[in-house]
Amino acid sequence: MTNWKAFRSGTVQLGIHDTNRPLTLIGGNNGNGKTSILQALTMGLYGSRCSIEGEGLGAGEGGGRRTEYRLFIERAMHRPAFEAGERMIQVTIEFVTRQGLLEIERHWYLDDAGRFLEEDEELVLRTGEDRDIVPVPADRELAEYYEETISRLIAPPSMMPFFLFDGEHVRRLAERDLSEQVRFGIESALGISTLKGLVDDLKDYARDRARDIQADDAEAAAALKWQAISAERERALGDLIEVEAKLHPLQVHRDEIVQGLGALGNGTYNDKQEELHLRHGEEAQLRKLRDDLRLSLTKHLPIALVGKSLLAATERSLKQGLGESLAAPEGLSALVGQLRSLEPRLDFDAEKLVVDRVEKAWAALSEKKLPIGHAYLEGHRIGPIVQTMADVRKEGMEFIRDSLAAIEQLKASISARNTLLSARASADQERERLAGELSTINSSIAVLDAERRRIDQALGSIEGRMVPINAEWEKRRALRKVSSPMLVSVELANEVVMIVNRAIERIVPEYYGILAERVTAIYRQLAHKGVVERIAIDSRGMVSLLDRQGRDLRENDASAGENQIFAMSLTAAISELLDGPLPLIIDTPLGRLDTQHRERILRFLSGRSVQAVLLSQPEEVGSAYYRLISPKVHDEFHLEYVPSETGIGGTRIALGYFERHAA
Amino acid sequence: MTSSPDAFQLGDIIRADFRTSRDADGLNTTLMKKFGFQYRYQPARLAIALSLRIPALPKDMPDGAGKPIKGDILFGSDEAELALWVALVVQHSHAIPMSRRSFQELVGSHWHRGMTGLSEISDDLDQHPELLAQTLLSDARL
Repeated sequence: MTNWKAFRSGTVQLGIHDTNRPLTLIGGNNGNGKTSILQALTMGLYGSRCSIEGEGLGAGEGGGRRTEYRLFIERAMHRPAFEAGERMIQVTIEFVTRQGLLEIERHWYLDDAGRFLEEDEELVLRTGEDRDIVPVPADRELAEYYEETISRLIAPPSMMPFFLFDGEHVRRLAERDLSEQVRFGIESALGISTLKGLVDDLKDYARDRARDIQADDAEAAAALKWQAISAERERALGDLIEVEAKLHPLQVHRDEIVQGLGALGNGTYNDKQEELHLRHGEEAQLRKLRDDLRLSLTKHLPIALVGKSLLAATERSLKQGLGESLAAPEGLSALVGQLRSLEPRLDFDAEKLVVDRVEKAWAALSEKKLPIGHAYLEGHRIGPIVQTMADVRKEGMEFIRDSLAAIEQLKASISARNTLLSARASADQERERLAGELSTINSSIAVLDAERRRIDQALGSIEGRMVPINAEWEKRRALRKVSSPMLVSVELANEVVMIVNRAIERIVPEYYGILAERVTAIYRQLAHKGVVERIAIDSRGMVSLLDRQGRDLRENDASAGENQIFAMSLTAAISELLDGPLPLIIDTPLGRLDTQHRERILRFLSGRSVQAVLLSQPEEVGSAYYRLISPKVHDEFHLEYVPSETGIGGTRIALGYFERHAA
Repeated sequence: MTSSPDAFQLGDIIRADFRTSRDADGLNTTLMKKFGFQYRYQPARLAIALSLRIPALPKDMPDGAGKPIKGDILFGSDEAELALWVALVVQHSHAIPMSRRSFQELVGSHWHRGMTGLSEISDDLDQHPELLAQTLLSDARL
């Protein structure tokens, strides 16, 4: 550093990074220039592209940011040197990058009034042991190329908050919208901000160039035609997709209905009629049987119903009036037959008289006495009555039982036929329903099919018309490309913009998982309260601090993620996403942390293989902490204020953390 | 053998009108309709038979206001069949000689008593005659 803030001249030799001793301690009281060293690094690396928290050089836009930069540089001039006539400020930084040594040297010049001469700012990059100036390609501007080289070999300026920062201010990082911050960090680590810069540049380029390349009327007309017909085709395609989307489910449904109809079986009209006919026949039979049963039920059954004892008593009484030997009517018939066959034959009247008299005599012999109490039977034959009683009891009852059995059989048969007919009726009903539905669906399909054919034909026609329109437009564009080759570049630029944007959208979320894992690991090392089990980052970059139950602690404690420990974890994790991790350079690293967190941070930093430069106050890394980390300290310095006899003094960089330790 | 002047002859029964009580006659109509009987004598015969099944003589019917049925309709036009019915009724009353009128009243009372029983039996049955037949057969253990 030359003429940089508190330093008239100063060199801090941090040494080549040693993974076993990653720490460098630079001690200094307030005002002795610790922050000046941090700012020398940031300004030296990035110049006007950087922003310094808390120093009034924010991330403002346009003139504001420029003015702040100018004022910052003017204030950075070491006052005694300016008064001694010096007008130049210089910061030189040497980095060991993955491509070897890179020396960055910046010069800022002031006029005699102390105003920053922006045009004269110089940046020189040297490389290799011989410090050869980095050559600038012929087609590149020097400053732009050098800035780009710094971004490429060290880190883009957007990464600065993740490796060069003030420990007391680190919390601000996390106090911003966390998802925004995480996205910013990832984009920085992946160099996406550079890509976005490229996208903006390409857009500007395309816009500016496009303005210069005016299409002529014929091409404009052809382009309009092409746009119109393309839109027409898009609409037709949209219509086609819409129609097919309606058509497909209908076709599937139609197939289902056809299957359903097949599954209903082959019951024909004739089968049904035959079944109905049989049932009608059985029903008629049943009616007849019932009618017969009604008659029998009232002709035969009552006689049986009166009971065996009354029947037996009646039979006994009636039989009292029957002759024993001649009771049988067949005996009378035999006798009459014999009489009629006797020779000589009697004449008709005589024979009739004889037969009548024989019969009367027979009757008198057969029923020679009336049953007691049944005087009303006088003159009537008792035999047929007794016979009727026997017939009724036997044949009548048999008839009834047979009728009942036949009725039950018919009823069962009719019931079975009814079940069958009912099943057929249901099937008929279902068949009818399905047929109706099929008819409706077929109508809808026919309408949609016709519509599809119409659109297909229209599409064919549109595509046919597109060919000559496209050919015309292509011809016009080709003509213009010949006369305006820039058009190719404009189109290419637009295409690259589109590709880069898509790539960014795809890549960034992929890194959220990796980052979440690292943040979790580091946070769990640093935080002494084991409440946070896991830190999750979703695809939108939203951060959750989850406890064991998976609850987001930030929902209950908004400040959970806004503490220095979380910010440190995030910072360290993001810097690890780079190809080669950046050194961590922290001003006031332990800030307002409590004892336990101080120890954890120091153990964490000394346990990593990443170089860490700690700019601290004497009491911040006091003797106990110093002893804790001293085996891991590679270099140590302290800053001493050297008063001047002429007025404002300067700072000297001395070896050793503080004198008492250096001793 | 001659019968007493009061005793009825079978021919009297053929021509005589038989009536039961008004209530029993109403039930007769109901059952006739319910079981699809075509004639009034049909339920009447069943009722008389059910009553004859009970050994005790029936009480006198409360009135004889039912519609009449001729004897040859009630017991059948076949002489042997009609005579059998008369014999059963007479035998049930222990073959005590009775006049035509007494016989008519006795038949009316049987009809009345039997109709009440028949009505109770058939209350829960549906209209088909086979169910009535099955129930009667089952009750009579035939």
